[in-house]
Amino acid sequence: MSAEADRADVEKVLAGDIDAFENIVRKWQGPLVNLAYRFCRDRSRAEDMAQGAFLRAFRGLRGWRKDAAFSTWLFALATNLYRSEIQRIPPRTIPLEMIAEPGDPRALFSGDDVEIRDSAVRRAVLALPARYRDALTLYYFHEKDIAQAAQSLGVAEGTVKARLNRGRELLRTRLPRLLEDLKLKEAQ
Amino acid sequence: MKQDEVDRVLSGELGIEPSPGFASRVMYAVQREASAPPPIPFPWKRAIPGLVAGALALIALIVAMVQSAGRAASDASTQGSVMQTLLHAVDIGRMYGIGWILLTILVTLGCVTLSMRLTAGTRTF
Repeated sequence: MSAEADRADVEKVLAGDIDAFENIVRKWQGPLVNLAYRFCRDRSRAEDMAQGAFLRAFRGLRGWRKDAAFSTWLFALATNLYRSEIQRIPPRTIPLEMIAEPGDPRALFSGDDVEIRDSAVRRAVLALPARYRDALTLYYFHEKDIAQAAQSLGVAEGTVKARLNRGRELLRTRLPRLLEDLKLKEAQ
Repeated sequence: MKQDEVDRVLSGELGIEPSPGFASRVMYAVQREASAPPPIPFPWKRAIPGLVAGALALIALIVAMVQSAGRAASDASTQGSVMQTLLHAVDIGRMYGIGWILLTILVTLGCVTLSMRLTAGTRTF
């Protein structure tokens, strides 16, 4: 039903009814802004990026081959745009290489600083090398659906799995030190 | 760090809501895009005769240079020394101003590359 509505709206837009594109915008604005936010962690920039994705979708609407769901095409297009935008102007992060490995990582997770920890995890994801960052971002954005993440990234599912494993490994080894730094800053 | 902790943090993340005017802003941009005149296509019809003529002239020049160099080398009874032929070709090239032509092409390519790089940094949606 939802896919059919998308298809109908696209047909209308292609037939010249530009206002029909508003249905597409209203329906997908939340996911596209959220996906952009996961890439940049900046609300204002996320909206700019999402607007760019919608404009690109509008320009390339004829390029949707209709053999895949409209959402698949839209997410792949948006992911491509977001990745190149983030490559052009990276978000402010702590380089992962600058985070040293601690002696015993588990020792740092006994506290109750959930908020700090959650924030650190998200920042650490942004600091990962692009291929791992993108895989993790898309995997969790698509609610752990590897197939969808692979479609959005335009790579094989096996590649996504491998990148997820490596990305998680990097997080597991480097994150505790980042948490320690954040806790120290908080205490000051 | 335990894997399930990373999992919990990343999968339990709450999304943000687009600001109220977001859809209107997008539609405004879309309407503007739709009403903009289409980009001017490259005038291939006019350019092709010029490009073909230029290519033919370049080929004719190279053929003339090689023939002339070969003749001069055999006239000078140099027994077809490759080096002599090349040196003579360079002399003839100099006579036709090939150096300036090459320099002009290089400067043009440099300008195009530089301007493309500069504009790539100021891309807008």
